[in-house]
Order: sequence, then structure tokens, then C-alpha cells
Amino acid sequence: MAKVRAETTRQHLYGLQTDPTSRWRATVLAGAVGALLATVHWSGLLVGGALVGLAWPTLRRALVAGLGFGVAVVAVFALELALAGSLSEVLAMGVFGVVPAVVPLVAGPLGAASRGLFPDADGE
Amino acid sequence: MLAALLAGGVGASAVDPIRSGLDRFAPLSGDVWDTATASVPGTVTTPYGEATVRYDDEGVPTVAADDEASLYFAVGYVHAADRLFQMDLIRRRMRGTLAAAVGQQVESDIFHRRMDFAAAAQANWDLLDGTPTGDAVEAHTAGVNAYRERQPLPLEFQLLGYEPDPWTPVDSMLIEKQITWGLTGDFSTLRRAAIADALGAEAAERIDPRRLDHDSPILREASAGSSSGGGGESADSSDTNQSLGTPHGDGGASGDLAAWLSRFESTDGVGSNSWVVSGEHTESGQPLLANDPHLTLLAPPVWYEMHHELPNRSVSGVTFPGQPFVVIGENDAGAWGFTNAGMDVLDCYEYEIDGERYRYGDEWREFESATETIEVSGGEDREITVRKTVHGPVIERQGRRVGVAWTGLQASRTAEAVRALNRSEGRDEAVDALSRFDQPTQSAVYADREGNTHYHVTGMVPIRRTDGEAVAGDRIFDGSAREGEWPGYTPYGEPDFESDGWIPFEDKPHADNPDLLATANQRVIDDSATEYYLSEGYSAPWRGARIYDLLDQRAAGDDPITHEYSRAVQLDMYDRRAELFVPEILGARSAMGERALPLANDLDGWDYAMDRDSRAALVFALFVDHYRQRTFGPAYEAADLDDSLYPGDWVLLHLDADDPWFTDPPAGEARDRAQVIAAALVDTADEIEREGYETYGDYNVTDIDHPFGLGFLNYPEYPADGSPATVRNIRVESSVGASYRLLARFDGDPSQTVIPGGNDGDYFSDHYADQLRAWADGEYSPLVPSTDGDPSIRFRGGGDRG
Repeated sequence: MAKVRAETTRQHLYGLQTDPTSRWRATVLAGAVGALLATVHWSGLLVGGALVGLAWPTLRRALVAGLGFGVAVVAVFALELALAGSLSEVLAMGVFGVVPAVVPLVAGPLGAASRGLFPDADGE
Repeated sequence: MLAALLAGGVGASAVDPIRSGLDRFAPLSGDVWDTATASVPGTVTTPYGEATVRYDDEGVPTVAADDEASLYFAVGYVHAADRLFQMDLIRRRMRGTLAAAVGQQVESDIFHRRMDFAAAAQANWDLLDGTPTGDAVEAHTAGVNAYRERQPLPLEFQLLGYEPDPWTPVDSMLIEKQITWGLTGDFSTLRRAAIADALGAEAAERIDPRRLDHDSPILREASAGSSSGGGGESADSSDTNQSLGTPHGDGGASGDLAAWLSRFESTDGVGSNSWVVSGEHTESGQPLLANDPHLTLLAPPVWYEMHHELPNRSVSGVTFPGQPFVVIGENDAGAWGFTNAGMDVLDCYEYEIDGERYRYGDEWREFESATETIEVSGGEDREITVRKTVHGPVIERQGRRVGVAWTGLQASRTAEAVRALNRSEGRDEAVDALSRFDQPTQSAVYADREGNTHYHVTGMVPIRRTDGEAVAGDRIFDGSAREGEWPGYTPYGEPDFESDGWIPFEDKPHADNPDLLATANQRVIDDSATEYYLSEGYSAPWRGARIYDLLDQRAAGDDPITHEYSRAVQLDMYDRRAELFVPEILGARSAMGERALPLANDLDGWDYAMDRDSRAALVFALFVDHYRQRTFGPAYEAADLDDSLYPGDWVLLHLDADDPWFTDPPAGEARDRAQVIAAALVDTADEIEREGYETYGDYNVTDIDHPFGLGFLNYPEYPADGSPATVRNIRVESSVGASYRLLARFDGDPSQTVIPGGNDGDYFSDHYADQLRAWADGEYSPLVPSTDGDPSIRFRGGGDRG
């Protein structure tokens, strides 16, 4: 019974991963959840990367999506700083200003790499 | 493989220091960014009454309330909002707990533990607790803690990874001790002794004279008032020499000790300018007052500008972050300012010592001693023994021990006096307030809207006595023989304010209603005009004489002294050192080669203005230090004397060509002064070439750094005018200069001010350094409270005083 349920879930997931509209919707939703979690704790960046990666049919594309999630987080963070009037000050902080840009670009793909724990979707 | 990569990546992030780095720097959640995106809340609960805060375009707050407690709670809150890290750093330095936060400050902690400023601050608080002033300090403390508990901590705390302890009233007292030490903690006696020890008393007296020969004291005609106390015979050269010996076999003061202590004394160049001009000489018929205290230039600045508004009182000016009251500024009735007076309020003592005992008169006493552990961040803790004698702390260095008596080790009523100044309604009340300004010793100037002016030396000045006779404090005393006792002195306790061991307030140099009076740390009064021993040495009169020249000149002419003229005086960049010595340099041209000669020619025809665009100013500024090195360096090196003990510019530039320093130096061969000048100019040419300087502004910049040493926290560097010897004051080598400029007036137009930096110590704030350019360019802002528009912060009832 459980085996049947797992197979059904996988089929649903593969269906989502191979349908472009569903895939993008899932990616945006996963990214939003990840970003939300990342406002509470940095591990949200890993979770976000993993969720985004799950929306894509292959490991390679999941890694790209994870990187995209990282870029989006950097953009959101930059926007937050810009709205607070602090962006130029952060950019002037040298290595301290580089860290928050690098962390999502590493954490996103790292989380998305978990997609590799499952086989690629059929037909991809 | 993939699973291993994932496990490794995730696992690594859970291990320090990566985890703590992520906690602090990860985007969206990192603690560091809280301060980059946070803003002070619009409503704050207060256990006191309602208050409001309105910030002006430069981030200067106007705090308004119906009563003092409500006002000072809000003042504490905005102090913490803008300067909490600075406040914490000061108390850490003064308590000797700096190394626990930043490491590498163990020597500083050792010195500050030995001095035990914390116990002195506690004594201060014991005196004020329960008084109206103490109540104000407590309200301020509660305000600081309200911010500390409720809002994100400043960036520096996040970077260092620690949280500040609760602020206490004793911490506020430590702020006072810190500024007092910075202005009067002076080991001249030890320095002079070290020089005499190494070079001989005669040479020491010549290069480090106690009095400089000039005719521009602050009080040019007045006497010091009625003198009833005993004066003090100064130590002559032979006395000094005797004091250098090792009277009891435990070692005399050494150059090592003096050089080490110089790191914790007043920073080189600390001084100030102020003047008052009565309505007799002004265009409006109302007085003018100007003040610019020269203190260490830091990011953020020493001072915090603000306005305090109560229903019956309006006070504007600068506070010390961590202290509730306006120290320099104005209220509805008058304006006041301070410069350092140079009074001698610190003495050193040597003892006959036997193990852990020292002889004091006929008895042997145990040192009061305690073992303390200095915690060191990232290093091994250090254990030290702190000793005290009847005189105060014992400072030790490489086996040398010196007892120290300093007026600042006692409780003081200064906070009470400053509060009274804020509340004063005219000269009489202001002078009464100054009578309780126990420390630091200052030259206070005051002017009011009624047309009164006043000058008074403030602070407790001891009358030292040996065998009942008054003596000068310009020597190391034999503590075992009970030399140089201070009647009424109680280190780490409440002094006997009524004792005859202090120069009475009425007898301190003062002037009632002076028409024109200028102070710039020069000699306060001729020694012949007072029976008291006041000072071991004053600053050179470069600035003081220049201010008097400018004011006298104008007062003697047809044009009255205006606010604009007062401003021009404060920004004056004429260097009297250059006026004195450039002719000597030009006269030495025959001794110069092709490398030095062009530089000398640059000085020809110069107007002696230390202007950022001037080539001559660059040459002269660099030359002076090279000339000092060439003149004194060989003898000092031969005697193993630290260059921190070099003589100042006055002595250096007054050495004639036939002075023994050239014709018969303590070490090395006789030299021709012209050759020394030429060699110093070659050194100058080398430095200019090496550094790529073109004009003075390439060298003379606002080199103002944050204590952290992180580049992005330092202020931007702008070219500046002025020098260490000009009224417009800046000393780039030690980052000292005009820490605040005040031009007070009573003609209906607003007074003007500027600080070297910004009011907000938050790196992410628009007001972190927004006044720096204006300061460098000699611009000011009107000193006007913000009373219109919606408040930025409203304080409403409901909080806990906790």
C-alpha cells in the first residue's frame, strides 16, 4: 500500500517537474517559502535550495534553479538594504559585504543538490 | 558521492566559526544586518513621563519633556540609539576589561586596573546617589537600558560577538573619569625626571622648561585674587636631580616607566581655544563667546550634539554620550565653554619598600593589594596584583614602583555642577555652579544675555605640604618621608571639600566681566601674580597669543568685533611657528645643497597660512618634525630615551644657533645649526617625494579612524586647513583637533556649531559622517532646536524603571 502511495507521489512530482507551467509555479512557491524561512534562520537558504531543486526534473537543472534561488535571495536582500538606505554602506564593507552575497549562491545549489538523491524524471 | 557532498556541506555549516559567521552575516537573517535595516521605533514606553524626540537634518535630536526625569530617560535612550558601542568601549577601557572584548589590549587593561578608575567612579556615584543629580543620572541610565534591551545592538557588537552588560550610574561616572583623566592625567614630573636622569638636570631644564618665556598669559593684567594660602617653592634643578636618585634603594623613576605611561596620558595635542568679548567691543552690544575643545578625533566623535527642552528651560550644545547633561553650550540665559587649564593635580611618590610593606612616616604599612584576572579574548588570561598606598594606586613597570595621587581618584560634584550650569539663569548662578566643578581643572568662560562675561579656573587644585609648608608639585615626592601631602585628599572616597588643602574657589585665577579674554591652554597667570603653585607647565602660546593679537587689533580699531569676525578668528590658520622660524630657514640657505634649496625657496614670501593648497605649508609642517629629529635624535638615542620625550615646538624653534644643543650637545659632535636645518630639509624633500605630496592638503587630511581599525568604519579623508599651532586646530599625526566648534551669540541670531564627523555612531546612518566635510571646510550649522513637525520618537508611560 505504502509502496503504491510512494509511486503515486513520485508520478505526481515527475508530472510537476515535466510540465513547464507547474514547474515554474512550484519553483516560485518553493523560492518564496525558502526566502521566508531564511529570514528566520540561514538554514532556510539550504531548505529553499532543496525545495526549488525538487521542482526540476534533473540534477543539472535543479542546480541551476538552486543558483537562481540564490541570486533571487541576493536581489531581495539588496532591495531590502536599498529600501533601508544601507546598500552602499554594505557594499563598502569589503569582505563583510561580500559574505551575504556569496552565502546564498553556495547554499542554494548545495540545497538543490539533494535533487540528485532521486532519479531524473522520465523523458529528461 | 552526492550524499557525502551534501552531508559535508551541511555539516560544515553547523560547526564554528562557520556557523557563527552565518548567524551574523547570512542575508535576511544575519544579526549584523539587523542594524542595517532597523530604525528606531516611533513609540517607546517609559516609566517616567511623556517625552518627544525630533531629529534635524543632521541627526541632532531635540528632546522635549515636562520634567527632568522624563527628559533624561529620553536622552539616555537616544544616547544608546546613536552611541551605545562607544559608551561600552569607554567603560571597558576605564574598567580595564577591554581585552575581554577585543583582545590585544592587555597593557591598557593593566594600567586602568592599577589606577582603579572604577572605584573612583563608584565613589562619585556614592556621593550623588539620592540627590536630584543622581535622580537625573538614574533616569538617563534607565533610558540607555531601555534601548539596549529592546533594540538591535549596534554593528560593532555583532562583529565582536558580545552583548553589553546593563548600563549603570557608575558607568556614567566612568565617562566623567575618562574625560578627566584625558585632560589632567599628566606624568610630566616623571617625564622630566627621566630626561634629567639621562641627560643631566641642566640639559633637561633647558629643553623642558617649566615656564615658557612669553607675555600672553590668559590673565594679562589681573591678579589671581586674594591669596591666603601658602604658595609652593618650585624644585630647582638640584632638587629635581635629588628626586631622581634612588632615595631608598628601590629604584627611581625611569625612562621606561615614563615612556610606558605616556601611552595612557593625554594624547599629544589635547588643548582648546575659547574667548569671550563683552558688548563693549561688539557690533550688537551683546557679548560673544567662542569655544573649540581640541580632543582626540574619533569615529564617532567625542561629543554628541543635542537640544534639551523643558517648559521653562532650553539647553543646547554637546553632551558626552553616557552623561545626561549639556557640557558645552548655551541655555536661555547664557553660554559657556571650557578649555584645559593645565593645573597640576597629579603627584608621584616613591617609597622605602620592604616586600609587601612601605614606610609611611614612622610606621610600616602593608600595601592594600588584590589579585585580579584580566580576561583576554582569544588569548590567555593574565593575572596581576593591584597595589595601593595611602596616596592612591601604585604604578609598576619592570620593577619600578611609583605611588600616584590624583584629584580624579576622589568623588566629585562635577555632574551636579554641569546640571546646575544647564539650569543657571545668569552669571551668578553659573559661577556658583562652577564652584562645584571639582574635576577636571578647566578654564571656564561664560557670557550671558544681560551682557555679563566671566572667566574662572575650575576644579580642585591641591596645596601640597611637606612638614606643614606648601611646596610645588613639580618633583617626585618621598612618600615615606610624607613629603607633598594633600590635606583633605581621600582617594576612592569623598574628599573634604572644605579642607584648606585645596585652593579656594575665590582664589583661583578668575576675571569678572572681562571685556576681552582668550584662553588656549597657555599660562593662566604669571607666577608672580599668585602665591599658589598652580601648574608644572602650560602649553606654548602659539594659539593664545594669536587670538589675543587678532582680538586686540580689532578692538583697537574702528570696526567692532562681530560674529563673523569671531568666526574668522576660530578658523584662523596663521602659524606663529612659521613666523618665528621661516626666517631662520631662509637664513640658512647658504648651507643647503640642490635638494634642500628648492624647498627653502618655497618658503620665501609665504604668508604663514597653513592652507590646504599651500606648498610652503606642506614643507614647513614636515620640516618641523624632521628638524626635531635631527636636533634631538642623536642625543636621545645615545641616552636610550624614548622619542615620546622629545621637547615641543616652542623649545625646538627657540634654540639659537649658538645653543649648547648645537655647540656642545650631550652626545655626539658639535653641529652647525644651519647644517641641521639643511639636513632636515633634505629629509623633508625625501618624505614629500616618497609620499607623493604636492600641497599641504595632501598631507593634512581628516585622518579620523574608528577604534576598530576596520577600514570601512573610518571616516573619509578630506583635505583640511590649520596645524597643531594654529587657532584652526588639527594635529594629523595624533588625530587631535577641534572636537566641537561653538560660536555663541546673543544678538537674536542663532549660535553656530559643527562637530568633526556625525552625530550618529551607527555606520549605516546618513548621519555617520555628514558634518565632516563642513568641519574640514570651516562651515557651521545653526544651533536651533527642532520644535515643529511630528516627533520621530514619542515616549509614552507604561515601562518599568528596572
